[in-house]
Amino acid sequence: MTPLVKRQARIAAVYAVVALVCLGILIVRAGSFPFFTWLLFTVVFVALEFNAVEVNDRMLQSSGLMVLLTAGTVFAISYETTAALGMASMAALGPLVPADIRERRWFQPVANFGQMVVSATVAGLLLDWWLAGSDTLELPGLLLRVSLAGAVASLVYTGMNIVMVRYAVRYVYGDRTLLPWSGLHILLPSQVVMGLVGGLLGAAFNEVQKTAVIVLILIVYMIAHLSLFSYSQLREAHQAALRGFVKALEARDLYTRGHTERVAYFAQLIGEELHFTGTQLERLRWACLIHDLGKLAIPGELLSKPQLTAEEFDQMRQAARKVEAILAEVDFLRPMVSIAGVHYLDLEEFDASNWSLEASIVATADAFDALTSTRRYRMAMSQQEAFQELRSDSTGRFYPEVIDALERALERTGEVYGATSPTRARIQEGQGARLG
Amino acid sequence: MARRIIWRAVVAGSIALALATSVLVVAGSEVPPIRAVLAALAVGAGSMIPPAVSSRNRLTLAIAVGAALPIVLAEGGLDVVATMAVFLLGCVLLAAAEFVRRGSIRGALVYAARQFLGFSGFVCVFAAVRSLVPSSLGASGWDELGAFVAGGLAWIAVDIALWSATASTDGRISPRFVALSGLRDLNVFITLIATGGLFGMMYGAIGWWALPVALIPYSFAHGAFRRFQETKSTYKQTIRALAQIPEVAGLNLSGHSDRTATLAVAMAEDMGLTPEEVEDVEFAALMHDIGHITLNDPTVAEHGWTREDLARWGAEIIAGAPSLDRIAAYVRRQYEPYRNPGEESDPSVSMVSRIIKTASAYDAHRMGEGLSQLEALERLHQGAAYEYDPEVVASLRRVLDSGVTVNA
Repeated sequence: MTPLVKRQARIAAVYAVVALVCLGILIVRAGSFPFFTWLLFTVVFVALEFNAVEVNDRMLQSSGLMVLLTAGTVFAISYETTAALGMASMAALGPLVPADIRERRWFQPVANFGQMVVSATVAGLLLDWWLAGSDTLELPGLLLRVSLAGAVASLVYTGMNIVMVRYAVRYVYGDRTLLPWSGLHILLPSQVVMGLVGGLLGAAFNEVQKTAVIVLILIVYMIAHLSLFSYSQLREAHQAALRGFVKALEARDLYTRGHTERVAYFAQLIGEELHFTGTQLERLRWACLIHDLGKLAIPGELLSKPQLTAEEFDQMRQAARKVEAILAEVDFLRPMVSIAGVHYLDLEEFDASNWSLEASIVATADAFDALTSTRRYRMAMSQQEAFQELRSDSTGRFYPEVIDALERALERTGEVYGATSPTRARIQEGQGARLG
Repeated sequence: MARRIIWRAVVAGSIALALATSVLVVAGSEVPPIRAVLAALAVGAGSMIPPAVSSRNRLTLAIAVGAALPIVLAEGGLDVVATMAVFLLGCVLLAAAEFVRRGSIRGALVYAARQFLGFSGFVCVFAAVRSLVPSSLGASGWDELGAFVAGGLAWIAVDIALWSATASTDGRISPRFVALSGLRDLNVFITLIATGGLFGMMYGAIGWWALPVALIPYSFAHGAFRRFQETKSTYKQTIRALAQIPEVAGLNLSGHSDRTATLAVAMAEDMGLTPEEVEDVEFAALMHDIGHITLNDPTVAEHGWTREDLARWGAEIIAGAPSLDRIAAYVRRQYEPYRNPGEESDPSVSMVSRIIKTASAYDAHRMGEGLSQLEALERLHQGAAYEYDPEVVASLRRVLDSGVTVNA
């Protein structure tokens, strides 16, 4: 067993045992339990968690949590404080994710099982304690109290989840990989809303006392979630289509093959180093994918020429401008077009007043890749030389903090690009860095 | 002139009749007048909130309001006729709102009538199921739920049947296509009916608090539908923009892919392809000449190329996107003739490929060579049964005759 597997096994064992103890105690002290209602909620909850949706704004991602909290409030008010058992047993069935099963991962599911059950137990106990006896309340007061309890329970559930995930990641992988989870506080507002909604629905159910109502609520949730699921798949397909196109088009030119993918990767590294949010990173990714499309409209013989006449350069600019115009017609791409500077071919077109941090990131990633790759008209530079070259640029296209971020990120990942021995090649003033 | 006056009289008369009947029926029933007026207003207001759908059908929150009526209005037992009268009253408002929106009296009236007939189907089945199901199931609301499911199915069936009958009156779009595309919005329809049912079942116990409680799950779904449709249209726009790159590079006729797509989609709808196939036609037509970008390469220009090369290059580029491999296969085979002399036509060439081949050739004759519509069609007819599929050429003629305008 490698040390990593050992640490994984330790965390998984501790989490799972604590979770099993929680479940055991709850089952032992349980009285009557509304099994049928529990089954209704559980089927939907597991289905929602099974098709978990990846969307960058997390507002709509938490449909499973909303069902969990609706169930919790229903159990707490209408079925004599059975929320802890109800929620914990639902959460126990949640962590079965298709990707984990397909790839035969054991650590994530077991650790998730532990952390979800423990969080659900705590949130459920809170609901049971807070809402005990509230079924005698009048309507507005009941709704208020239950919604509030739902929101707090939601925060507790999410908070415990975050803490346990962080602890596990820190323990197993060391501090460095903690980054991807650092944005979790952004989730909190949406968790509060989910809790309020869950509470409201639970309280309403308590008044109506018809199980069929739950079926209707769950039908709407399911349909909404499925649409969201197809939405996220479509989004994926959209990006994959563009990426595939770019790749196929790049294949024409041996020298620039893979350029777009590398630029996107460097931009991603810089963005992560500067603590960009998911939405910002995604915008950056799109901008990188389209940044070179302008070149497609440029006649091939011009692209491979080392020196161009003024007219030829003008022809290139016109072509790139036209491509930019059609891309900007797509509402979704318009902001990315201005970041990517699709038409931007040389220094004459650089306009400092129109520049932004994001534009600088794309330009820096682009120039860095151009400098560290071999082109028809010059050899690749070493990484160190490339950074020097970027820093010595006097136009202000490459923000110093962006260059620093790229350098830090590459140090962190331990990757080295460009020639291994220093070369004496220099980029040609004006066009070299951009034309690649 | 006289026909116009008669038409106006018929319209005014039917609206007045609908109003008078519904007022009289409601007044003679046990439904409280204030509640009836509120319900009618809600139908009218709901008709202005449409969730995003895949087809060209218009589904609105008026359906959710309608679905709640049989329970909300049934305090002293369900009165089917009075409930229908209240919805009819609402439909008058709905027709007015529709008229303001689309500016056509005929369209608004046909739409309102369809909503009313669909609702009638719903209420009748709802009442029938309620009277059949034993009341012992009533405690948990299963009787109401069953009635909602059966009534909702009736509403969907009536709506789609009527829509496909009326939407294709101009003879251009096949009813099969309309009906199938209506079925794609089943999820939205079910959501609307379930939302109405949720409100209805809770209204008795918690009164108007039921409104926010029913609308919360709905708004969740509403947002999801909108996102899905937005992404779909963005996807299409991106594909369209990429397809234009060979055109702005001067390697293909300007606007060719757009015009080919407009024509090809109209032909596919005319021929009764399924909505999924029509979508494929649109994507394949937009990208059918993406292979022209390869002509930018000086070595290609040197060595020469054939139509098959262009189709293959295009397919290779499209196949770079895994989700578009079906489209790539259609584009790959677009150059193939319908059949070679003395041979049967190859059944493995998809109808999608044949449609884009014909639409593209028409546009090339028309815009590339500057032929008139008649001359261009004549050319295609000469090639029918050998180069082009005769059925597809016939469809192109029908589409052009019905006046599909293709922006030059």
